[in-house]
Amino acid sequence: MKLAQMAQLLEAEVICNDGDMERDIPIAAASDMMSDVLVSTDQNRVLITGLCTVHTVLTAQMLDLKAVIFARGKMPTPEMIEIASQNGITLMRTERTMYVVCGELYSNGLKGLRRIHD
Amino acid sequence: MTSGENQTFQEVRTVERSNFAAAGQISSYYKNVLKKLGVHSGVVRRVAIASYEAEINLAIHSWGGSMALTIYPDRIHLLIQDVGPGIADVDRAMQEGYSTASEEVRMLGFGAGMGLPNMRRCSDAFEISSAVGAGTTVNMDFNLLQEQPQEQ
Repeated sequence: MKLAQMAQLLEAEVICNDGDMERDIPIAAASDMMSDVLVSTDQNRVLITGLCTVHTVLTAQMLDLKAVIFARGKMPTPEMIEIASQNGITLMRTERTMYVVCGELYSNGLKGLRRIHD
Repeated sequence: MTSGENQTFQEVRTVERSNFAAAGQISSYYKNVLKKLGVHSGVVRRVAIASYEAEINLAIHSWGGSMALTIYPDRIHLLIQDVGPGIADVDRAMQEGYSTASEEVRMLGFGAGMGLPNMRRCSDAFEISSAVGAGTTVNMDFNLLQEQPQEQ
């Protein structure tokens, strides 16, 4: 699913983006535990999370993820935005809860990993 | 590791006790070093994940330690050492889901008990030794000569 479509479906505010909202990301992962996100090396995921710390963005950086969606209206800090911008990571925020974010994206065709080690 | 091997890069950085806010900076730097050297992106990612897990572990659990990155023609080596307190039951610490992390650490998104098993999974060779009172040492190798899958 394209980043632009995700933003539209979630009425999300795009905090930073490298100019390519047409970037297509094939799957998603949702977790507030970065430990669990780090268990897969799959870089083709958009991360949906309610955890809004510098470690959220660092986790995305280590995994080469291209986008993070903050649910529940969380606002990333300037430090987080700087790290994301330097690494070409798109950050978006939406007021919707994580469950609804996942449901809307999934029902519009954005799938996830059924198991971690597929 | 023998000293006679032809290493092309080595750097050692120290991690302070309980400095959770700074954890990740070393791994971020090491990742950029590997990227600039043109290492395959899949290998870079596995090293970055293992390094980040180790760095978080040092900040959460240790009394301070160090992370050494050495690049050889055929492999990347990460040596993680700390000065204590040591792990009482290493076998248990290697089990997925086992964690002694505090509630505070869990609130920050870590302490799921996946760190050490994930380091083992990401590396091509993994070795841990620990003793209470003596600290913990983790050695990890990542092969550079294996054929890597193409990435987009």
